[in-house]
Amino acid sequence: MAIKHSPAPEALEQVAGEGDPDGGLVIKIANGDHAAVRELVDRHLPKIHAVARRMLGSREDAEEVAQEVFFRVWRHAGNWIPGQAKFATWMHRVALNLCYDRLRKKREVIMDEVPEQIDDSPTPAQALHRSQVARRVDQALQELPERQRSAIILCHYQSLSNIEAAQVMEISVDALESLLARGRRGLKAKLIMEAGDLVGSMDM
Amino acid sequence: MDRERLRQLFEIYGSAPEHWPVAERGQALTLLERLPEMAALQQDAGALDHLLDQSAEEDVNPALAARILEQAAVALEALSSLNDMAAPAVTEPVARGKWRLEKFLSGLDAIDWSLKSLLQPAALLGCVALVGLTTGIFVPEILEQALYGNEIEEGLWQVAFDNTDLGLEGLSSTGDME
Repeated sequence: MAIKHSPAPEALEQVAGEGDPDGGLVIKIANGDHAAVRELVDRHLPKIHAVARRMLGSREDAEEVAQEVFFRVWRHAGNWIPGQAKFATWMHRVALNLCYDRLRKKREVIMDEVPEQIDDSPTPAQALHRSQVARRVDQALQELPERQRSAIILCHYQSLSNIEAAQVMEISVDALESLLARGRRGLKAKLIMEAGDLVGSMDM
Repeated sequence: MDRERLRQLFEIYGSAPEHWPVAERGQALTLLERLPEMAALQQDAGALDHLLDQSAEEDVNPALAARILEQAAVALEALSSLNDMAAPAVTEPVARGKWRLEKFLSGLDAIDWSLKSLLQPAALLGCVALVGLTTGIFVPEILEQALYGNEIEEGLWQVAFDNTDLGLEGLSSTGDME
C-alpha cells in the first residue's frame, strides 16, 4: 500500500465529500481512522454482498468476494484520488470483476448447481410461497448471460443510475440499455410466460 | 421524448420512474399523463418488476462484517508500522535492517490470514522471508504471489528488502550484482 501523507487532510475530505459521499471517508481511512472504516463497511457491505450473491448464486462465494473487495479497499485507500469517480462505483466494479473471475473458473459447476434449486412441487399453482417464487427468480437470474445479469442487478436491485451502472461495467449507456432490454426480455420469458400463476397469485 | 422512447424506458428500466434516466424522467412522466393508453405498458413492465422484487436481499452474516473490520484493523496497523519505518530511531545499518525485518514480518503475519489461498502457516512465510533475506533473490516474488497474486505492494516490499540496510551494498533487491 503506497503511503500518502496529505498536508491538509481536512481540506481534502471537504473536497472529496462534495461530489462523492464516500470520498471523505476514504481519506480518513487512509489516515488510519477506525470509525471511518466501520462507517464504510456499514454503508457498503450489504450492497456489495447483494451484488455478489445475485451474480454468483452462492452465499459462501458472495461472502468471499465481499471480503476480498474490502481487502482491496484497505490496500488502496491511500491511493484514492478524489474527484475522478465515485468510490462506490469503484467498489462495485471490483466486486463485479471478482464475480466474473469466479464465474469463469466455475462455469460448469455453477450451471450444475442450478437444478438443485428447482422447485419440485407438483405444480407452481399449488405451491405459491414467497420463498419458492424468490428461488425461481434467483434461478432465472442465474440463467441469464453474465453481463445481462450484471446490468439488471446494478440498475434494478442496486438502483444505480444508468450512467453509474455504465461506469461500473465500463460500457456506454447505449450498450447498458441493450443489456437491460435483453435481460428483462429473458427474465420475462422465464418468469411470466412459464407461470402466469406466479403473477396471478401474487399480490399486485 | 416520444411514444417510442417511453415504451423503451419501460422495456429497459421497468415501470418505476426512479429507475429511469434522470435527464428523461420529467419528460417521460409528462408524456405518460398525456398518453394514458401507455399506462398498460407500464403496468406490464411493473409485473416483471414485482417478480424481480421477490428476490429478497439476504442479511449479511455478522461474522463476515466482523472479519472485514478485523482485517481493516490489521491493515491499518501494518500501514502505521510502515509509516513508523520512515524515521526509525536506530541508525546502525545492521540493527536497522533487523528492525525492519521485525516490522515486515509482523506486517506479513498480520495481513496474510484473510485469504484462503495464502500459504499457511504464517511461520512458513516467516521462514521464507528469512531465507529470502539471506539469498536476496526471488523470495520477494514468491511472497508477492502468495499474498497478492499478480499485484505488487511496492512500498512494503522495497522497504522490507532494502539490502543496503543489511550490509549488502552492491546487490540489487533481486540479489544480483549491480
